Order: sequence, then structure tokens, then C-alpha cells
Amino acid sequence: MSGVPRPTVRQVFDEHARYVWRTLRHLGIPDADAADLCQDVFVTVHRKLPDFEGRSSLRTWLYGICIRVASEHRRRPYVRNERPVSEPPLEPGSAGVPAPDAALSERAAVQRLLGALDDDKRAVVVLYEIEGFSMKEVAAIVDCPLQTAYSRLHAARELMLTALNAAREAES
Amino acid sequence: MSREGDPQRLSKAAPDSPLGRLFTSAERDLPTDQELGQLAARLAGVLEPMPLPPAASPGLSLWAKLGATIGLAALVGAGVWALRRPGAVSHAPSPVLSASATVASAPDLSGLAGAPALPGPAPAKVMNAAPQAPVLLKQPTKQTAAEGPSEPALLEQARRDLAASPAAALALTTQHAARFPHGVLTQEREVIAIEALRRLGRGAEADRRAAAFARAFPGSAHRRMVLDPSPK
Repeated sequence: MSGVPRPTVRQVFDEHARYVWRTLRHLGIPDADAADLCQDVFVTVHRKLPDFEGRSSLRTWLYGICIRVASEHRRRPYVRNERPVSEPPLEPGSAGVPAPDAALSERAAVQRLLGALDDDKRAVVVLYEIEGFSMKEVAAIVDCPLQTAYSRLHAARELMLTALNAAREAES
Repeated sequence: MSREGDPQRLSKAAPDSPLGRLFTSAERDLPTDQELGQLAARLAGVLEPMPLPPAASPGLSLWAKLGATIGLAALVGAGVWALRRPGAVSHAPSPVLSASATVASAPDLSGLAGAPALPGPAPAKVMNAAPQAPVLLKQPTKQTAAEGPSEPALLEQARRDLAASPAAALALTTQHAARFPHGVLTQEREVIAIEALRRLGRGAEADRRAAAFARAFPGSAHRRMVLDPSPK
């Protein structure tokens, strides 16, 4: 990093830990695993911060770590085979869409809708709609062309809206 | 941060739309202070101290100097959060606590080097009034086993004493400040000290110290907790 003092892990933690945690949850990490994965992110930060060259913003770099940690976690066999019974994924337009519980929190609803997306679309919509990155930053974080990121966002919105409408129809 | 050409965010452009509402809700879905404190505790060995300032300026208070060396862990913060929860179980003081730490009343921290935040107009004066301050400042951060418990152990003991004996906990934080004036767990010490003061009914003192904490560590993960006296 030239000209800008490199932050300490503590400073990165203080500034970003809340949002890293939020991002991991929205990337499909169950609440029970969020702390573990958050820990993995900051251990990685601790290991790699000395090599951070500042070619991207620190935040972009950090969220790139989040995406990789979450993705690696989901690929683990014991995670891949888990099917949480409390929050089944919402399949857009399918007859098996669970009727929304009146008491279901919006938080759970978001998780269900995001859970209906593939990893690529999910990452784009989380980073753009919830974490507030620009699309250029999103493309850099998920390592895809900008136009691809736009396409994923558009498709993700469509899928989420379709799933939401389907759930509401099922309810009524 | 958005840029020209990006589509509008639904939470901003259409906050009342179904997806806009859900995204707004998702933005608020942050971990609790307790969750964050526990995470910080787990990362105790990873969160490194900030580098020391290149040179101590004459006008810099000791607290500010310590602020530049804030610690590597929130080892203790999580425990404090846990203690503040309604219904939290009190722990009896541990028998391993040294006799010197189990003082019956809390000392006046304002006279000790490395201790409290000493908010207010004349912290330097108070610091200078402490006869032992120059000596304490020269003490090394690392202690051998023969000299007493390690820095984390000392604060862990203080945390465990908080519920049953806040005076003892406060005394241990004072001991910490004396033994580890440039310790890496300065923030955690202050969190315990502030909570101990509150438990001792010394609310005004706690508030002053909390305000000083917030000034010294504006980005601290503990900041919200020390400024909010109500239990979570």
C-alpha cells in the first residue's frame, strides 16, 4: 500500500466485523456457523493483510475473502448434504413453496429468497442491494465482468420477485 | 457506494415494494453486541495491537498514548456482555486471585498511570500527581510468570470477579494498568472497569470513563456497550 498506512487487523475488525457477519449470513451461512466463519475471515485477514497491496479498496478485498470463505464452507460435504428443516429453500413458482408463516420474520423471508438463488447471483444481490457496493466493485469482488454482474443482479431480482409472488399466492 | 449507470437499489428507489422492504430489513440484520464481543474474544490471538506512534508529543495524554496501542483482543468484553444480560449468573471470586487484588474497596483510578481515561480538562495534571506514574510507565508489557498472572489472565480474573465482587474486579483493572501500561488489552480493561464502577454505584465516574473510552477508541467494537448503561 503506497501512501496510505496499512490498518491493523483490530482496526479492520472494529470497522467491518458487523458487516462481514451480516454478509456471511446473507450468503447462506446459518446463524450457528456465522461466528465460526466470521472468525475464519479475520484469521485470513490476519494472515494476508501484510500482503495487501491496496490495488483494490480494503473493503473490496475483505468482502472478496468473505465470498471465498462462504463458498468454501458451502462446498464442504457435511454442509452440502445438510437440508435445514426449519428453512427449506424456496423454489420459485414450484407447487412445493411453503406457505409463508404469518409470524415469519422478514429476516427469515430474505434468507429464504436468497436461498433460492445460485451462489453467483446471490453474491451479486447481497453485495449490491444489502452491502451497498457499486456494481463495478461487485464485479471485482466476485471476479466477473461488469456486464455479467449486471445480468446476475437482474436475474436475481426477477427470481426473488417471482418467488415472493408465488409464496403470496400460495398464502392466499 | 453507487456509481453512474448502476441500477437503483430497491431499498432506496422502491422502499415500499416487497423486495425493497426485505432488503431494508436485511440491512438491519446485524449481529448483536454480545455476538460481536464473543467473536472478538475468539479472535484474541489475531487482533494485533496498533503500532506505537512515532514519537510522544508533549501534549498527548497518557490515555491517548495508550489509545495508540490498543489491544489485540476483546478477550474480556464478551464476558462483560454476558454478565450484563438479564438473569446472568454471578460467579464467585476465584480462589487463585492474589491477595493483593482482593481489596475491599475500589481505589481511585484517576491517580494511576495507564488507568482510566481521565476525562475532563486536566488529565495530564492528574497523571502527574501520581507519584508512581513514571516508574510504572517504564515497566515492560510482558511479565514473567514469577511476576504474576499474564495480561489476559489478569483481565480474565477481573471479568470473572465482576458479578460477585466488582470492587475486586476494579482493583484488578488498576493492577493491570500499573503492570501493563502499554498492554494490548487496554480496551478490555476499560470495559471491565466501567462495568465495575456501574455495579459499585459509581455511575457518574463510569459515565466519564465511558465517554473518555469513546473518545479514545471511536471505532471500538465495545463502544456501544460502554456508552449504554442499560443491560442488553
